[in-house]
Amino acid sequence: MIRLEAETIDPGALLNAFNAGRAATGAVVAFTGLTRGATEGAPVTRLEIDAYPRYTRKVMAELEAETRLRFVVQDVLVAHRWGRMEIGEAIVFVAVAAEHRRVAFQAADFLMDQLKTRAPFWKKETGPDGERWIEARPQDHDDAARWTAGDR
Amino acid sequence: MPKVVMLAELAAIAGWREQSRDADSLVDLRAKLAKENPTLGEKLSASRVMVIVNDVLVHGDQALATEDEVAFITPVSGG
Repeated sequence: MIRLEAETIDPGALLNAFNAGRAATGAVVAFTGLTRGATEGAPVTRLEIDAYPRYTRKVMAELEAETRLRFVVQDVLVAHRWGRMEIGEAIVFVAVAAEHRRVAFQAADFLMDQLKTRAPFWKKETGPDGERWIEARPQDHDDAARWTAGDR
Repeated sequence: MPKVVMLAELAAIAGWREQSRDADSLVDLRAKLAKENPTLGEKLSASRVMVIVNDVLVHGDQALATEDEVAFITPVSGG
């Protein structure tokens, strides 16, 4: 399930709701991404995330579908913020439910790597030196490339 | 008329996010946008800018119908 949120994400509440009533699930892996107060040493005081909601939702749903094709999981939740954010707020929350833990860890890791490089979000950081639009880091692309065929 | 959407820094340069333009193809639309705002036109012609028509990434030219939605995007920052 995909959620694109303009308001604050509460990871604890999302996780509790996700965990509820799971008789067949042995493992839930959850990841929360927070907005950092600095990027490569440069202070960040505010983050603004632009999205193209109808397209962003479509691509996020495709990434969820790829995850479900690749790993035997029972359920997937992705909640992502957009709009103006303060430092320390949850920007993304991913939860994966599976029968056993290994596949849940792997699926969450895979899905986050895909989101970090392919999800249609545009981030603008504001700091003492002004504003700047940022692109996915080379490390993010390297992380995503780990999952390409023949490299597992 | 097709709806035109500018995202992120392109919206900042255009000074708007969503407007309609009377254009019958992507080439026609780009020409009209460049004529009214040369700075935006130059930015849009960069190879890093991608075009999405009705939620599908499009390369090259394509005819536009009145109900189409065209978005111009820069490389994504990711989630």
